Amino acid sequence: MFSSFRQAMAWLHTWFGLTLGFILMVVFFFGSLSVFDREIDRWSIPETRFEPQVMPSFDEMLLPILRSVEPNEEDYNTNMPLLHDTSQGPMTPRTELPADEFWAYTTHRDPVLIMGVGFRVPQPLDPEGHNHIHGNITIDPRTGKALPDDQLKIGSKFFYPMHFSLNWNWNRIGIYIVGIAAFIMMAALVSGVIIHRKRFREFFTFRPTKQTQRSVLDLHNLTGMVALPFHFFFTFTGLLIFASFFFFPVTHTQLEPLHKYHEMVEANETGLPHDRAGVPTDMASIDAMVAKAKQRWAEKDMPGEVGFLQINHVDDANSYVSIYRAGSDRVALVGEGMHFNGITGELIREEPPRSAIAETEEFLTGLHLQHFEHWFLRWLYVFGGLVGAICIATGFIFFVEKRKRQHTLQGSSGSQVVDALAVTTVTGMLVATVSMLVANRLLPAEMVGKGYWEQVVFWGSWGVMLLHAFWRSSAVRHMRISPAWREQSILFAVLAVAAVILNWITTGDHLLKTAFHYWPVAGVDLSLLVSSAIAIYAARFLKRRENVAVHKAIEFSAQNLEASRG
Amino acid sequence: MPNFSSPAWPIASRIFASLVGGYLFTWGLIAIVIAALIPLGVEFHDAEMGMLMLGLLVYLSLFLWGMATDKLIWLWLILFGGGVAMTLLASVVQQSFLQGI
Repeated sequence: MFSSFRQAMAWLHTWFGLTLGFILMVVFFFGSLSVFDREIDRWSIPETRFEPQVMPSFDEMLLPILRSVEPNEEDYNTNMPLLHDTSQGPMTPRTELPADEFWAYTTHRDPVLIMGVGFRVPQPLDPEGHNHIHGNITIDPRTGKALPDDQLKIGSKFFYPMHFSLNWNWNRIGIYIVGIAAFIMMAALVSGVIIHRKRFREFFTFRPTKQTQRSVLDLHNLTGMVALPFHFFFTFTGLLIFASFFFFPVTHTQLEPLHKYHEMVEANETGLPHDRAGVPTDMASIDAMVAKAKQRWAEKDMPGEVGFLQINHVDDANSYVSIYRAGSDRVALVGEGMHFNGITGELIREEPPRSAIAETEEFLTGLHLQHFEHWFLRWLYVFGGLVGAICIATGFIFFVEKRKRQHTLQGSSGSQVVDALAVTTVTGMLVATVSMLVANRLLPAEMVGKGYWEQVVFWGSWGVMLLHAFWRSSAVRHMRISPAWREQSILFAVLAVAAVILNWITTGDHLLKTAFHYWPVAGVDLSLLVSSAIAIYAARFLKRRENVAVHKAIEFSAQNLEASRG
Repeated sequence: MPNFSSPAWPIASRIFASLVGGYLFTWGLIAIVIAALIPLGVEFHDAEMGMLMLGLLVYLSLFLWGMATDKLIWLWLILFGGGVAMTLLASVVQQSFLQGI
């Protein structure tokens, strides 16, 4: 069917790239924003604009708070009927569920402390299953005051999940779609190199003043090539992070018996009790265990703070406490976990040195998840992601430029549709993102369901941009550049500046105050302003190109007319 | 009734075989190697992680091969036949190992 390997690769690159490129665009853009998800959280929830804190006293502050947490109503209503065994009696009322697990998590970029309780289902249908109903809480670690949990953390709870699941959670379909798109991204990278391997020099050529089709292809090759290791690496590690649970869940399905057997062997080795004893017992001081864990880390020449703490089998004779180190000073996500007996406070297990494979895997996934504190490297990630976005976007434009003449002559609307979708996923996505930030500053903080309405604004404005892109796309049929590109760029530029001004008006935080004093907010504001300036430049550039294209379009119609007469 | 002589048919068959068959083959490979390594004393998560890393690259190579090869029959036979065979074998190896302990 294909006359050569190269032709097959070109076909694959074009058509898979076109169909899944729209998804990849979303993944790359929101992945770039996710590098600073916690900073965007600070921007969008002004009450949380303070410096990150170390984990406060567990015994004095966190434990009493955890004991007051109630199971989440929605979680209870959805999952309790599924987990509970009705033959053993009626469901335990929501507020009477006993706590089984406590946890607290903090990062070097999170001033707020996230904590949660896993409540036990007393009469479970499957005693071996994960029988937990959850209740989470976010607190100000300076005072222990609960922060309103219904406010949407736009960065870490909307933009970040957008990156890997498109926020489409029905049967986790979003994760699978992103997975297929990521797999195709790897195939597109390999096939892209193969297509052009004969003319290697082309990868490093950029002729911005040539006609659009030429310069766009140059930019596509250049951005694909200079960041090729970055693109491949991130796509690969992204797939790897989800592989064992979603993409190749071999050990959770077919080889589950082998997995269970391994867990049993491991539980024997580690001495960490797998089940509750059923004997209620008071627990020892957690703070003393934290102090011991920190001392052990210091002895191992890696002093550090607590990042994650979990109490298993709460108030039971079998309870144990796992304490993990905050890993912000290294790439690999290593917790150096210490496990203590919850009743006696004794250290029962220290995680042994890891194998080469485990170290490789931790390094790879750690590089992707970037929990480390290295601002230069973080910014490099942002630019790498945006370079990927440019590569994908120029792929769309090249597709349109190459075919629009032919499509017009054939009476096909293919180029027009692709162009409109490209506008929607490039400038339309930017407008939706910044609209959400504007809505965040305009809607009152105490409004019920504010987070919901912010999402409505995001999807709504994106939908409007889609309609606008299609409405303006007829220009492509006439061999011109769709004005939607320019118009949405201008809209974005205006909204981005508006977001910065609204932040100033509603919180009093302006750049002169925040720069050098509170980078999370200053960084978001500055990024918005720089993006706005780039959008203005792009709009002006597009205006010039549109004028050139108009002349060409007139020539084209004249030729067409002649051809039809002749 | 699909029109098998339509030019869209071979390409649809090829995409299906490369994506789904490649996936099945990779699944089988991951399963059989893990199932075979555990009895040899390899740590479970090492076997799992090592095979997932390798599996992703194998899947990518199979997919590219499938999109380019002339021999569609072989493509179907190897990917689906091999995939099913390795998957079944993995279950047999797992069962005999777990019974033997």
